[in-house]
Amino acid sequence: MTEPRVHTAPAADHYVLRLYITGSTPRSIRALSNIRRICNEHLAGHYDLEVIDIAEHPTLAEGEQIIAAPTLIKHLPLPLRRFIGDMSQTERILLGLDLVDSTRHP
Amino acid sequence: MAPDATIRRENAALQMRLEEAEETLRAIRGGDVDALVIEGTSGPQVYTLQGHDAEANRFRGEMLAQVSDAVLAIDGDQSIVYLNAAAERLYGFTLAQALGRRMSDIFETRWEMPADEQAAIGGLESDGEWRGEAVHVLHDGRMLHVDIGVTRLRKANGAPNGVLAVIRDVTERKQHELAVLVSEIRYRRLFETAHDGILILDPATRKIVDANPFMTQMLGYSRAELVGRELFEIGLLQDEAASQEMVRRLNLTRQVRYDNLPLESQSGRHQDVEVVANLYDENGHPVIQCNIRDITERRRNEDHVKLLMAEVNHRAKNLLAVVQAVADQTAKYGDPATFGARLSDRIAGIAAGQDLLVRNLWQGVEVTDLVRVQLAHFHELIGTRVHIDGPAARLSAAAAQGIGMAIHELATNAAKYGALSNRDGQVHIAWSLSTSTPPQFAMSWRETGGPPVVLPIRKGFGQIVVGRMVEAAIEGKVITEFATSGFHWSLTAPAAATLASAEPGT
Amino acid sequence: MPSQQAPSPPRVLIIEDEPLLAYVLEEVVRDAGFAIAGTATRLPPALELIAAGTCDAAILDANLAGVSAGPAALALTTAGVPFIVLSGYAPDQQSRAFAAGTHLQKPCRPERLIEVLQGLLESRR
Repeated sequence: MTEPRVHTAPAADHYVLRLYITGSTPRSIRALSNIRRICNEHLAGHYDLEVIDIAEHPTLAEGEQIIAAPTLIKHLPLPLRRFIGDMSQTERILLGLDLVDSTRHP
Repeated sequence: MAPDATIRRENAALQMRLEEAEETLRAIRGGDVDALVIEGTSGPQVYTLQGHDAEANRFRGEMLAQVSDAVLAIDGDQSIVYLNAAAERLYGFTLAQALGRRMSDIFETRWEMPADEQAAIGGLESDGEWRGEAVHVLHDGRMLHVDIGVTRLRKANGAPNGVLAVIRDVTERKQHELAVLVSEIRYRRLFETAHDGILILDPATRKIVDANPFMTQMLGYSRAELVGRELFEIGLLQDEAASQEMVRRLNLTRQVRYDNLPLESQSGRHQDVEVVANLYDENGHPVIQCNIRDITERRRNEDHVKLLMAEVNHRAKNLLAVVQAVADQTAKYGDPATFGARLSDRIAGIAAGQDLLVRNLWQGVEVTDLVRVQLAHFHELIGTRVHIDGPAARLSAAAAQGIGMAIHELATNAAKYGALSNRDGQVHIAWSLSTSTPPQFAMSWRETGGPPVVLPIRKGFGQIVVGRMVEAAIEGKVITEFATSGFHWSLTAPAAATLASAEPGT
Repeated sequence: MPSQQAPSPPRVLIIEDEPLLAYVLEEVVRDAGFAIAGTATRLPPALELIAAGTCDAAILDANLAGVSAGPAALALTTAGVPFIVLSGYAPDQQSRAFAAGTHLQKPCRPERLIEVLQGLLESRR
């Protein structure tokens, strides 16, 4: 039986995030801006954000099977989650990162 | 059969993966991505998708990458949305590191004047732009002087949409400006305090535009009286033609030197000056600087030295003539085999006498000093076998030379044949000044205890030295006696001809 | 002057302030067969000797104990007496008074001195 996940913000877990962008293309810029904002507001002190520019280093896309940019990957806490786009839908992102203050009913 | 929980967990994971895949596809189709990654034969290839303004973006991107000024853009939330390659280099952050961060994370802004900050904010508000200077402190602590231009960015509907900043590092220029300022201050200080006169002229008009305090002192004119005049008007060059000539030469060679110019101050005081004029380029304008040095003192010294040198030359030539004469006479009168030794000996005697004269600056020589010098070979006998006795008496140069040579000769003979040639012989040397009118100088050399006295066979130069020569030198009289008790030599002469007078040079 | 050889040797006046040199000049001149008209070591006695008119030639030191021998040179020139100017100073340092004389630099070889002296006396005959 899966325990319902209940979180009180901010999460006590340490978040490890990777954002894949392509230089200063418009959505990459926005995605970065948005993710930084979210991290500052909801994860202050509990996160590591790594920004990878696959326009500069295409081979880094391979390991994680990145097929489009911008892509955000949450490595920790598990499970691995993947988001794509300019990250402007904050609610959806927060939900995906389990940072919403409500229980989910399976 | 797997437990329920595991299956449910696996289902949830699969569900998530599906959702993500659908999301990805939707995003791609919806144009919500910038680029796609396609697996190529040599690795993943990133394909940037072109939007309708992608062309403009790319052009702008390429252009901005090459611009040497740093370009930086922030959005309405003060987050950095763009920085070009020059900005990356200037601030030491890559694009990836800077994007989304605030400008204050990259550098700290400081203002030279507090008012500048107000002006910047105000300008941006009212005009939508501002240009000025500030100081940016980098993350490593380095301070940069920057020239910044900021422009407010607007959306199509006119709403503010962030700020674009174009930043130029002017640290080097500022340092250069400071160096120039320091240099100017230093120059100004030198100008004011120099102990040479300095005049600054305008090459176009040949007129004085500035004069330092020392120059005003040299000439007796105030600075105001000097400005606007030409050099010939203040007595430095002869006439207008000379002035023109100087400028003409300066234009050719950039430096002109006058070793010796006459200069009369306003009070009529005459000076000799050395003038060095240089044509400089000062911030693009040509300017003439004249350095004027008073060499009156130096010239006086040089003239005096020249006079002394001529005197020394004259005396030296005289002395050489004397030596030559002694050489000739020694040769004429003596045995050729011993000529060299005898001549050397006599020259040594002359040299010793000369030393005394020079030491006393030709003011005369004490009899005691002269006798001791000419008896230098026998100095250890003085007091035991050689006795010197007489009052203080200063001999003239001519007397010193004549008497000195005589004493030298007498000593040489005494050592060869007389009282100093055996172990017991004695020599008594004495002199006196009489109080008779006119006063007389008398000197005697008496030998005792030597080997039996033998009369000289022929007249040698030595006899002339102790006889006629010394007589001629001091208008005196010599008596030589070859007594059985020992050789005796005595000299009398007028004190006036023998003693040094009060004035030098006799 | 009569063109026949004089029975007595030519008389030479010596004006030199260094006594030793004066003595040596006398010896050199005598050795060469001349007679000494007189010797002076200062200007006043030199002028007196010149005024006496008893010399055929003269050897003159340009500087007599700090005093220029110019007046003596002029007196000799006026009297028509040939003279040698013997000097330790460089020729260009001497005044025009000595223009009529034949200049020799000290130190001077005795042979040269006699040679010039003979030349001066010969041209006078």
